[in-house]
Amino acid sequence: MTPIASVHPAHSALPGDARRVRSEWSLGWRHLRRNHLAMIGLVVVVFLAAVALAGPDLPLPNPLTQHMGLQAAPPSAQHWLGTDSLGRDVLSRLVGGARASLSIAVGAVLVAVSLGVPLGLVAGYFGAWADVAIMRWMDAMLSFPALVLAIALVASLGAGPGSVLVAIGFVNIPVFARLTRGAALAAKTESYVEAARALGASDARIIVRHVAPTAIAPVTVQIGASFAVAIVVEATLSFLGLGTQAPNPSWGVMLNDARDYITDAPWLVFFPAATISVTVLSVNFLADGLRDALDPHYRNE
Amino acid sequence: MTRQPVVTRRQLLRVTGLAVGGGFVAQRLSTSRYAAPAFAQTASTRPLRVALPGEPSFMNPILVASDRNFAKVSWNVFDSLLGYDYGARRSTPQLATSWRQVDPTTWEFKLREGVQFHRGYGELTAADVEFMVNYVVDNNKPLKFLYFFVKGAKATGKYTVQYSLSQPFAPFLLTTVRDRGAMIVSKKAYQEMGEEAFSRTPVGTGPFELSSWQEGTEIVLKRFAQYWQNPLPHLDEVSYRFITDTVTRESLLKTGEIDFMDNPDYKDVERWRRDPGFAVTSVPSWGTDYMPFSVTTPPFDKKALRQAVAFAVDRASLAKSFFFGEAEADPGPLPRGYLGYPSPAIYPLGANTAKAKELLSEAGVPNGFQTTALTTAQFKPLAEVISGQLADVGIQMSVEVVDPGTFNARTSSKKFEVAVVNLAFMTPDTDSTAYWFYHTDTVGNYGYDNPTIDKALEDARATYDQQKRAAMYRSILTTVLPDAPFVYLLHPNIIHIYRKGLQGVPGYPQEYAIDLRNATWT
Repeated sequence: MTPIASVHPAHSALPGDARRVRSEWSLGWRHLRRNHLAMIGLVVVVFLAAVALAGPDLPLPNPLTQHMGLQAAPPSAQHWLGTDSLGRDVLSRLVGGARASLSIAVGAVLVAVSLGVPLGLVAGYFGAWADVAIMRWMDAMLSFPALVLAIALVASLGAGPGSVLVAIGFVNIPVFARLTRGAALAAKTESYVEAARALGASDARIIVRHVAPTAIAPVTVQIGASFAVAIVVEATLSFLGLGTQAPNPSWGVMLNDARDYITDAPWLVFFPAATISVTVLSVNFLADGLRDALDPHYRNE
Repeated sequence: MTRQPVVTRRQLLRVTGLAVGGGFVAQRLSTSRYAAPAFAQTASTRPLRVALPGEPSFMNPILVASDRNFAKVSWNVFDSLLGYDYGARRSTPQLATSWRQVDPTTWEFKLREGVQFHRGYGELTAADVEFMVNYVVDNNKPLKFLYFFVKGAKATGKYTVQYSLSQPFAPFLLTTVRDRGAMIVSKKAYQEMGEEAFSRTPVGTGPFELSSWQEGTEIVLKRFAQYWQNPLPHLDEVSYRFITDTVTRESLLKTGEIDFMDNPDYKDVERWRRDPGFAVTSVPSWGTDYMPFSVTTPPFDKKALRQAVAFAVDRASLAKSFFFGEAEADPGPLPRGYLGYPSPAIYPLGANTAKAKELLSEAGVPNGFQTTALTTAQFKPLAEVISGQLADVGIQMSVEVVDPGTFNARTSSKKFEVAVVNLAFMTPDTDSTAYWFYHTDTVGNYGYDNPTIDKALEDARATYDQQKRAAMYRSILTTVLPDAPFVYLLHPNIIHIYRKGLQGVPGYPQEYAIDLRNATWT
């Protein structure tokens, strides 16, 4: 079995192949490290994730505590980024918002991957009616603009972070399904798959051990891209009042609250907007870097 | 000889360019006709440009039950049978010059003679009143919500009309035959045009006649020269532009695109006051910001929890810090001057957290509980501030924002726990603050069921003796307020902001009243 597996580039299951496979990933990592933008993105993303995780334990004021009489105050020693329309600390609310936004984005991408990847594998590997049934359904979903579909879903599920997570995850399923289907279509005609079949491996075993691994690199890259989109969509839905509900903080909610203060206290708009931009930009840098690093085609350039 | 084209390409381009450019310029001119400098116009020809937060659904009082945008325009297009003196708090003559009670269920009105309808539809007579009242009653039109116990109307002379009721109804004069209740339309116009066309080109007797209605953009009114209150009105033209966003309204006022707006952001009022180019009118309203509970479902089926909220909110702080002083804190429902005012002092103006915690312990939740407040985008910030106040006693109130249609559907089907919203009273009679919310058979009641109160409310509206009625309402409130089916917060001010030089627009405590008949530029 070993010689068959050795022609399979991303196969990690077989012991004799381990050294070569690890070098594939470490090659990618070496390439990624040389990409400055991607490293900046990685640092920012790791920092944000750490802040979001540590959130409530950080020595910051309670993001829900109102200071009436100290409304829309400019940045000061006490409130580093000022206070919002109800006198709440903007920095604590940004941190609280990071927790809300990132956890929804992570959850949504998990939903999309865990449903989209199996669907794509089944469609690509089995072809025929399974392919038609699954992919036409995916095409139908893709024919709606993602944001409109998400709004419709949240409207029918009821506003709230849970609905937003499900909605964003749901609208991202087709992207992963298509991507995985493409990889599966290419892999299933490879000689190592034919060999596995000839050796009597079941369809399930072939899909899991021989076909699925070929999709890991493109799916990893897509996870990054979808994550950035999920953050923007989450902020949009919260801005529209469909996501995180007051008084809990969320970047989109903060932007909406700040709208009326754009002339009096522009920093109330600036900070959440800048946070969203920096986060999305960093995730995109990282995703771009991952694509360059994991795709041999780009890596050689 | 080569054949020349009739039009060369260059010529064609030039002509097309001219046409497009010219069209553009013409359009700019027509849309910016108001931007012409004010000093170029004499006082009377200078139009008044009012910003409305939205578009009226119909310009037809018969078809409208609740539409604040219609209400704001309606005052200037229609007259009512009776007017109201907001200072002396009594009915005044308007289309009716005198009125009397023939018997406990019959009211007679003498109409003003010589009042003309818009668009040449002739003189107002008793037949118009008779038509409108019977049309509303027989066809169950939306206006019927103000026609309590009205069986019909009958013209008993050219200028005399009688309303007959099925039982005595004390709030009749203040509720049914003033303002929205009796804005008289022309029978002839209504029948000739049909309901739909009439609703777009209304025919009333008011100071201004509807001149054009550009859907989604603006309504323009022009002076009605035969208005009975000669020489009113002073203005030649009034336009209402529909601008939903408060920030946009305020910036258009600042830049000179509009002259008058109401409902600014409360935080901005002080800045407008300091601005030498503008004037501000601010009057405490009849309306009340309040919190209704669904009293038949958990958690607020427990009276002690409702009372805990009533003691935990800090009304004085809301009025001072959230409304920036442009509101009157009030733990009771009665606006100033209503029969029975002031409400019995059951709750404090500030918060009594000790009492609130005691009530929570009494209800078995000493550490508080969780609930969700239903509200609309307009009241979301207020709900958040209240949420912060309730957190002080351990009540965790999250806020759910829905659109107004969903809000009404959810509250009327009692699919909510507590809500934060505003009540706007259309009538200055206490019946509208009490019966409409405490009686079991009204839409404003969310499960409060007290047979004694039902009976007392029915008795109070059937009693004509005002002194007796005042005592009856006081006793009703002394029972209902401690039961706390509603928590009352404050009366927000009604605020008008307008360009200096505009005069004669009174600030009334009644919501949605922009009365322009005396308005003039100086």
